[in-house]
Amino acid sequence: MTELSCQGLQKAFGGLVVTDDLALSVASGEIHALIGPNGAGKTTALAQLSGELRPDAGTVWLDGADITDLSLPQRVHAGVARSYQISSVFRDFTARENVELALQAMDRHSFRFFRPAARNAKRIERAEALLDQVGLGEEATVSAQRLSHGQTRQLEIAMAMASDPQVLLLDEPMAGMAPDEATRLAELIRSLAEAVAVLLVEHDMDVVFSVADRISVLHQGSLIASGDPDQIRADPDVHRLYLRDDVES
Amino acid sequence: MSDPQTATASPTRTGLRFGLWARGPSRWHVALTVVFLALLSVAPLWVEASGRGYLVTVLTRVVIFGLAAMSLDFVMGYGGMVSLGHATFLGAGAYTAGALTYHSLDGSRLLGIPGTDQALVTWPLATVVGALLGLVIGGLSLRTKGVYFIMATLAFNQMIYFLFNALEIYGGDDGVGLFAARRAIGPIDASDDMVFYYVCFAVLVVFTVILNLVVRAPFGRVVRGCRSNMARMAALGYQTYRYRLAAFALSAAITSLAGAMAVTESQFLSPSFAEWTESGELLIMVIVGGLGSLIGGVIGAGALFLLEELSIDITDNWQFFVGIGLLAIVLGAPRGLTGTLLGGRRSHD
Ligand SMILES: Nc1ncnc2c1ncn2[C@@H]1O[C@H](COP(=O)(O)OP(=O)(O)OP(=O)(O)O)[C@@H](O)[C@H]1O
Ligand SMILES: [Mg+2]
Repeated sequence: MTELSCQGLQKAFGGLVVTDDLALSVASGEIHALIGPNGAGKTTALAQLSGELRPDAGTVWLDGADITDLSLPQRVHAGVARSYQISSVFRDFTARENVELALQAMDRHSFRFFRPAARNAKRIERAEALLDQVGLGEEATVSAQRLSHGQTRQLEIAMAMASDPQVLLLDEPMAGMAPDEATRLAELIRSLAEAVAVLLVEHDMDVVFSVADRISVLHQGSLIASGDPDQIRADPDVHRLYLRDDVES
Repeated sequence: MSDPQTATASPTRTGLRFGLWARGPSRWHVALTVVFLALLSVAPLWVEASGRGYLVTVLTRVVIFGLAAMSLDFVMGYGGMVSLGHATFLGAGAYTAGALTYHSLDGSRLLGIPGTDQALVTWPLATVVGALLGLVIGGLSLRTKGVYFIMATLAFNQMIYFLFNALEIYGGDDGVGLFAARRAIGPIDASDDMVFYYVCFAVLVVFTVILNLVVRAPFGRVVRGCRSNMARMAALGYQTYRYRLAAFALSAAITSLAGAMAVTESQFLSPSFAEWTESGELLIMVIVGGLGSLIGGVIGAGALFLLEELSIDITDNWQFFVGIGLLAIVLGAPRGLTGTLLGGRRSHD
């Protein structure tokens, strides 16, 4: 049982407070959705949990250990992986090489100078299994820049999963996906969540309310509500500020 | 599956443990490398047979500066680190080998150790000095990004250049001739230009093989990944700084070796090895030859020296014609000579 949590997170860009006294937690076996209008600070919150951004104040814990001072790569090795809202894959690598590179990051080090990387049959097999899992098995040897938008999103997930993380931070994984692709990805995330803690930032409310165990609503950097989907549906503040007509109660 | 990449994953033939001669998508690149090295292996015999024996030393310089350009291409074309300061390492190698040679002629000592003109000592030592200097300069420069990185490498280049200029013992800005020195490489007496050429050519072949292995190895993949998307590499868990620094130091070491070879070739030590225009010239070789292809650095060196040689024959204003020639290449072959020859095929796995 793994738990990622934070308390008192604070982040401002100049005068703009983007994260305001944020407390969150996500444990293995659950999907915790973080929702909120554009600019609410969701991506910024993820970045502080993943280690990309240093909070101005506050603490991040992984299983009770303070990881606030760990860098991004260190947190990956500790078991926290993330995907990006704007796809950020290696365009001049093939799909499989992208995943291989993500797998290789889990080696103790990559100061290996002579044996060709393309000869690591075990790693290639593992990469292909991950691609299969996200539905990209057929595209393994396609250059990443030739993948469709939806396929690039799937590749993002495969790369995030490559580190065999305990905690997955997913930033709008379904953005721009075709509905059937999105449905399949939602099922995949659901199945991953059996063993992994998933913090899911997502705008698609149908997806959020169908897969999330818990939902937190962010507004101008602070949480205005947190609870199970039924509680959030019924919350008047949430309705007023965010949901409006998106979800009928 | 029948695609070539899967095929390379499970080698069935023996002797394919190292993937250099693979059947993967880079086989055209490997073929081009082999063809060009084969040409270089017979070129001096050909120029001598055609009564232009004086060109052997030009070919030697193609090989030596081609080696430096190739190692610059490794950091630039694969690592995305544009260095306008690689003459720093050329100079460091030249001064390491040149100073040792100078003191052996002079009978004096350098920091308490006797000098030597034995290349088996001076060249490896120059390589080590280059690696250490690369760690220091790279270590500081890599803390900056983009155009600031370029400026940092250039700034270090200038510092080293003025340092060499101030070394009165080696003739200051005039430099010093080392013509009385032997060109000994182990038991080989390489005072003959033809012999020396083949020694240099052998070194080039060795490092062509090494660098081609490195760019395909796990280390090379990380370096290439850093060029492509450094932030993402960190998000995958890579400590990107270490890998980029190691790549930079490796490149510096090889460039420094080339500098030592160059001073043994010319038997004249001067700060001009470390002049920043020399950095620019290496950059031109890489770009003309084709970024991210390794052998392109050597091809670029060949093109540049050939243009120089041809223009000097024709006119005193040869630099003008070299410029026009370079312009023609860059306009006619925007991906460099290798890029055009390979038609955009990948030069690694
Ligand atoms: N590096 C930065 N410098 C300055 N301002 C920033 C920076 N990053 C984000 N912001 C601002 O912080 C606010 C929150 O941004 P963030 O990207 O976290 O929002 P979000 O909830 O992810 O929005 P979206 O739903 O559009 O992805 C926005 O107003 C944004 O303009
Ligand atoms: Mg966002």
